[in-house]
Amino acid sequence: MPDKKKILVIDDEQFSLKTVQACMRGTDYSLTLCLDPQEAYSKFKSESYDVIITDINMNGINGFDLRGLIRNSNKLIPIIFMSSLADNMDNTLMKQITADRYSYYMNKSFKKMDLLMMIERALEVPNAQQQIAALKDGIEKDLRLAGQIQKFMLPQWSMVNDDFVMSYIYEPHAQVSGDLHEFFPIGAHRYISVVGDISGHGISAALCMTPIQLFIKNLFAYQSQETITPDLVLTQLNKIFCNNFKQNVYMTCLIVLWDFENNHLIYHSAGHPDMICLNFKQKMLKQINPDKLGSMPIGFDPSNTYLPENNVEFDFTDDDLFLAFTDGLMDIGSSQFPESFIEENEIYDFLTSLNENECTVAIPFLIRNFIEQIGYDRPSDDLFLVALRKNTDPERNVFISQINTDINETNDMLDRVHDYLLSCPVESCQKLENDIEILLGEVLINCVQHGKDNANLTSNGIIVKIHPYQDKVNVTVLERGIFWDPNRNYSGAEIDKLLDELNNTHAQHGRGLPLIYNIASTVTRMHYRGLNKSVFGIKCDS
Amino acid sequence: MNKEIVDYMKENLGLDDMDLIQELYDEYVNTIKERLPSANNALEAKDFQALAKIAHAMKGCALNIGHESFAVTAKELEYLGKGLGPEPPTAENCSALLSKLNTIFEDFLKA
Repeated sequence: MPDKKKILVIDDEQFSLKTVQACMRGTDYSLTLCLDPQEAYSKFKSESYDVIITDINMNGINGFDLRGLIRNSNKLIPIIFMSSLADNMDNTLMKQITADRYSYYMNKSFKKMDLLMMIERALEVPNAQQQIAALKDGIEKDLRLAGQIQKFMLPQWSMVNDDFVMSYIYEPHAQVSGDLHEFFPIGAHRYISVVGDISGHGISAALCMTPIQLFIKNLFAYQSQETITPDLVLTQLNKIFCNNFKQNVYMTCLIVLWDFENNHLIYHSAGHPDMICLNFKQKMLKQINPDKLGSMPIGFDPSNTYLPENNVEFDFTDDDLFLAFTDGLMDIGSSQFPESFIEENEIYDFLTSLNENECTVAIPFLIRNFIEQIGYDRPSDDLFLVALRKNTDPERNVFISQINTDINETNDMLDRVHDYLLSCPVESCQKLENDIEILLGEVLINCVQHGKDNANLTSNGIIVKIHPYQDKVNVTVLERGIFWDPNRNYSGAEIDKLLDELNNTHAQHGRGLPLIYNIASTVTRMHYRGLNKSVFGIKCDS
Repeated sequence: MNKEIVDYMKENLGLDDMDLIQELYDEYVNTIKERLPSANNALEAKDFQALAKIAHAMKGCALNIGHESFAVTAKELEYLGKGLGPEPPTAENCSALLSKLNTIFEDFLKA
């Protein structure tokens, strides 16, 4: 037998309470009768009820005031107003009753059947609401998991090797996304990358994205690396897409073959926005595709062959920075000016204003942060933005390296730093060798121990950059520890507060921070959309 | 017991236990017996708001049990006391309605 539903009945007239009680005898409801509305409120707070039946005109607080108190803690419980006011019920009274979605009215000259039906109907609504809420919770949990799986399938958010430095920012519009990205080595200093955007966003786009990503992984793993070309990849992808998804879905796609030995790339755009190329030294945008070569998106016509003559060939320099993105980047609007969207020129202006020593890893996050800072705060599509630049740091005596957020790897990084400092011809490196190693050891331990994010591959990774100058060395550490929630928009004040808390935690729990401040003459900590950037300046005379 | 009221309780309130019907009936009678003198006191004090409040309470009880004629007159007295009647409340017009209520109740007890 299920438990009886509990009803709290309030009326300052004893006879009315007794009438309801007599009428409800033998039903599946358990009644608590209350003459005093104040006392009824105390009972409501201390016990759980399913329905409230109350008079309106009462001594002390009236029925509407009682409802106000109840609604402070329970928005859903049905409240049936039982009163004889119906005979002079005016609009005001009706509005007062119906102002609340879960309030009902029953005249005091009620029939038992009518009252029972009203109680049943009133109970159905919160039951349905609870079922919907539980269903919604379940869907949201599933979506979160789906989103995590999608992120897991993406390459690590940053890659640093002898050939290039790359990082990306990925922001699904909902929990999941139809944007995809892959990056594979296909020989000595040669790589192939894919950026794709499946039409629409949310679950339908995400469902298509996952098998396509798997197909691409397989394709690159087994395709002959010598003969692979962007047009061939697109033709194969198109066939798979058309044969498997017949629901008016299509995908824009950008396939790029990178050759870092010869500073040459070949790419093919299937309806996708072109890459941006910026010469960092000259602060100049370069046209990669002046003839506007390209083809139709994937998924329109299974017989379509993507032609090699539509491949773009481009020779780049060591100073060129490349940005590839999905159109979600240009679909970021403003809540203040609903018709206004970010414009390419605004992004170009920002790019040309960047310091030429800015680490490529930070650039997608800096751009995203800038877009928000200038008032474009309303994304309307999935967003993906990748920045890539040839790694020329070693030639400029700059050290850059990456480890996973793993305590076992910090020693590897320190060994690499040690070797670099000893071999670096810049005098400051040798002078500051001990200081740099001690400082970095503490910083890395802090990042790993306080970040504690080893399991989360999407935010895994710590990048260390050491830039020597004549009389000082700048040590930059970039990481995506758990102190920042990348899915949350922090206000400036919140960021300041979090940084303070973070610094205090380090100071109290690790020996690190006092030591770091003792060595570094300047410490700058910044946050850009999920990326933490710390710059430690160490002077030769410090 | 008033047959009309007993039938109302059976039909509308779904009561079939005569002991329970008797109990509720007695409770109604006692309630009105208590309220009518209170109404008289309020009238003597010319406290028409208090009078309206008592009339409203009696109206609710009468509606609960299906005592229609009493509920109608109680409502008139309630409106008059609140200043919502056809004329402003006076000792005379309120007294007339209260007397009518007393008569209806006496008739009810006799029936």
